[in-house]
Amino acid sequence: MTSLFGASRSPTSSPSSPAEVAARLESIKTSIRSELAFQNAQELMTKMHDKCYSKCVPKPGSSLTSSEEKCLTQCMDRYLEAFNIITRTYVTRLKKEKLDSQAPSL
Amino acid sequence: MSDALTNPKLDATSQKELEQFLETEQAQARVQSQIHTLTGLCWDKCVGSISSSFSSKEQTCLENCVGRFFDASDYLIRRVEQQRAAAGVLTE
Repeated sequence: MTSLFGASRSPTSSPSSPAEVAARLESIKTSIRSELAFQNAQELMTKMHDKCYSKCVPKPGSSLTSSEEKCLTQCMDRYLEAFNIITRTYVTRLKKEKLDSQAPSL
Repeated sequence: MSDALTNPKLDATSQKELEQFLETEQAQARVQSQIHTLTGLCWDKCVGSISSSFSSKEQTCLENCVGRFFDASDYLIRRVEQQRAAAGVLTE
């Protein structure tokens, strides 16, 4: 029996077609990927906020001064730059270690 | 999150593929998380006052910071293994 909302949604439906299974698999993967990307971005924001706050606002006054704002703007760029340098160096090193472990050791 | 996770109607092959996918994504997430930690650590060690660009000293420090982090990790693992091997000889 076909449900009004489509056979794949109904618990009494016959086994899903290969196309439906593939689509479901793809949608699971997509949601996991975007969840991880979101967490990654959030982590970056949190860390950047912490680091730049302590660098740029050492003595919090009654409001943010323009020089503090300028510092925060530059700090954001620097933090991203540092993140990219670290990522690049990290990935290069990781690849090198992998190659070394595959090479015959003494 | 998608109801697909709580409503698994995947065949064995797809289950397997999903497990593989999760393993890869988890490994990648671990790497990313370590990069965040390392960025924080090296930022504190290497970055002085904020300006419009990094000095070459800061840049080099950031790169060295990653390299030495790996070296320190390798060194510690070797040390622990040596100690465990020594202890194993004694107890066996």
